[in-house]
Amino acid sequence: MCNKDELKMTAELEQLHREYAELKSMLDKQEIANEQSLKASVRKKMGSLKRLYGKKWIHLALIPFVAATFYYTHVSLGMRLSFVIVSIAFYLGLVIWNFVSTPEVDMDAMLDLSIQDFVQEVKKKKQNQFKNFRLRFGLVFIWIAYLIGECIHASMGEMMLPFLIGAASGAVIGLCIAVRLHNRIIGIYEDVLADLSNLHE
Amino acid sequence: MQQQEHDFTRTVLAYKSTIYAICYMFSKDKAEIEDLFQEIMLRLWKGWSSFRGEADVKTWIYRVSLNSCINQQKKRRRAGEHVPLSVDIDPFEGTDDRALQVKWLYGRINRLGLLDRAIILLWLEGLSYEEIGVIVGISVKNVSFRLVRIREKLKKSND
Repeated sequence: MCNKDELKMTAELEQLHREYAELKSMLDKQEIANEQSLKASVRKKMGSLKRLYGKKWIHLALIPFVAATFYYTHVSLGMRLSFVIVSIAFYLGLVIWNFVSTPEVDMDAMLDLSIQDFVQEVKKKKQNQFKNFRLRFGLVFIWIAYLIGECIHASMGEMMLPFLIGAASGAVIGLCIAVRLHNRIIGIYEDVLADLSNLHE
Repeated sequence: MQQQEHDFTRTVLAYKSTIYAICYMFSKDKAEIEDLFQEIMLRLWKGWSSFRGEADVKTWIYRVSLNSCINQQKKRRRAGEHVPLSVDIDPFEGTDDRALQVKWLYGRINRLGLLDRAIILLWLEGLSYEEIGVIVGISVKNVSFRLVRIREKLKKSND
């Protein structure tokens, strides 16, 4: 039974009802506005994540080996062939890996989720990022190590020691790049989670 | 634990605007409303694990919210603070008719005693007399009697 029937509705009570309904409506609208603006800010940050994971940067890695192949014309054919073949193998491996394992940030689908589910998704992606780092960037820095090693090897009369030195330097450079990229990605996830935690839940 | 958190959030979210409305009616400024809201959330979370669903979840949420607000008001009064009758806050930062109406609502309800405030808020939420009685701990007849008195008080404050 509606309790409003039990209490005789007077003009004062009707006004009270109207005002209360107004308050609830304003609270709901403010909540929606807060949530929309938060989602817009999160979308922007996650968009930058997509660029970091983007497939385009991987193609830049082709430049050194293409340049080296044309430059080292004085080395043996076998040497150049092995250089090209191994580099192409690494490149293809990384491209395929990118397509297979890039954590696609499907913003439209994610923004349809409630804030709680969205937070869970972001946390899951952050955890997956650690796994992606080991596998994906491991391949990248091995490749860079190989390229630098081969370049020095070819420059210095195909001696082994320069190759090893070059490979070690390349590995360090690759690792630094990979760690920096990884930290930047994790930073974005943490930023997003901090933003979401500001929303009352 | 994650599932529990998920269930809690989903359940409480449905009553968020109601809890905010109750906090608004018992607080004097935006910071206090936010603090009170957080405290209610904390109390609800602490009680969630032991909530077995014997009572209706809606009743439980209202009870915790109102008890938190009333306790806070009592603490403030014991400390000698007076709740202003005039509203000098504008949480929605508006001067339009809607914001003014909300201010008037605050003015009307703030003149009532703590228990009367709780009763009228529950009544405005559309709860039955039985439900109101369970939440505030009085009989149905008492709820009915008090609502009539509240109506008279509101009429007098308008005159």
